[in-house]
Amino acid sequence: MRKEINVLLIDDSIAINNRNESLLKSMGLFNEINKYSYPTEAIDFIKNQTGNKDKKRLPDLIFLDISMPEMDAFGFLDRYSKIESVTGSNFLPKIVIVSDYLLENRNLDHTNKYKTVGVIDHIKKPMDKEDVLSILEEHLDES
Amino acid sequence: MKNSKILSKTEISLESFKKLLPFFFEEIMEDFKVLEQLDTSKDIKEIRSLAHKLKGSSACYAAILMSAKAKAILEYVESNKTEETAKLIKEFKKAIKITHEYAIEHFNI
Repeated sequence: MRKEINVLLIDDSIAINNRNESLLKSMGLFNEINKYSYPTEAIDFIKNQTGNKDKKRLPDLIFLDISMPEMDAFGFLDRYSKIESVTGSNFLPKIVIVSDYLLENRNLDHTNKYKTVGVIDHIKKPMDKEDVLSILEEHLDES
Repeated sequence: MKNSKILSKTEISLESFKKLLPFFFEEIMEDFKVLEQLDTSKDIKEIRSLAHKLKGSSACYAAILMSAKAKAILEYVESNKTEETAKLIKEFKKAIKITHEYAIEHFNI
């Protein structure tokens, strides 16, 4: 399994972010875990980190809540896909959509449109260890 | 009512769960204060958004009773059943109280 995986959690609920952070920490597989309840702040964080020379704090994996009042997942992805320093680089974080339900039809079609900016999968809330491990094995196992 | 239908520990450690529970209730109560001020015949979008958040966070903390009530609010508000929605919002308040009391008793928060 690849080491030093940085994670970015984006959910409008601070309680959910705290719980997911605790869950991921308990797995002992991650380096830095950052969390934001406002998608615009997460965008700023990514922009700032892409501007850093070492890019050490850039996330390898982003868990993105689908429904948020300020900006939903698709609004976030629209803004995110315009960050040239990310999309124009060789480094593209893997993005997992987190939803109350398994996506189907319209939402799944919508999600698939963002595959080119790194959307790799979607999981159902509440996030559990099994889902996270399956994401890691399928998409981040580079050994 | 069976304890498992009120609140149960999730996949995280008991120590972490106990540490995070007060913040969970704080956020729930803040959101609920906003929710109960909304007009069930007019503020559909806001009610839907808050009920969605309450359902999600309750489910993440295995607060089954609260999550079920929030889910019902979502279903009623989406069907434009204003009276039923208002009734369920009151029931959600009771669910918070029951769950909070349970958390104090069983998790020493």
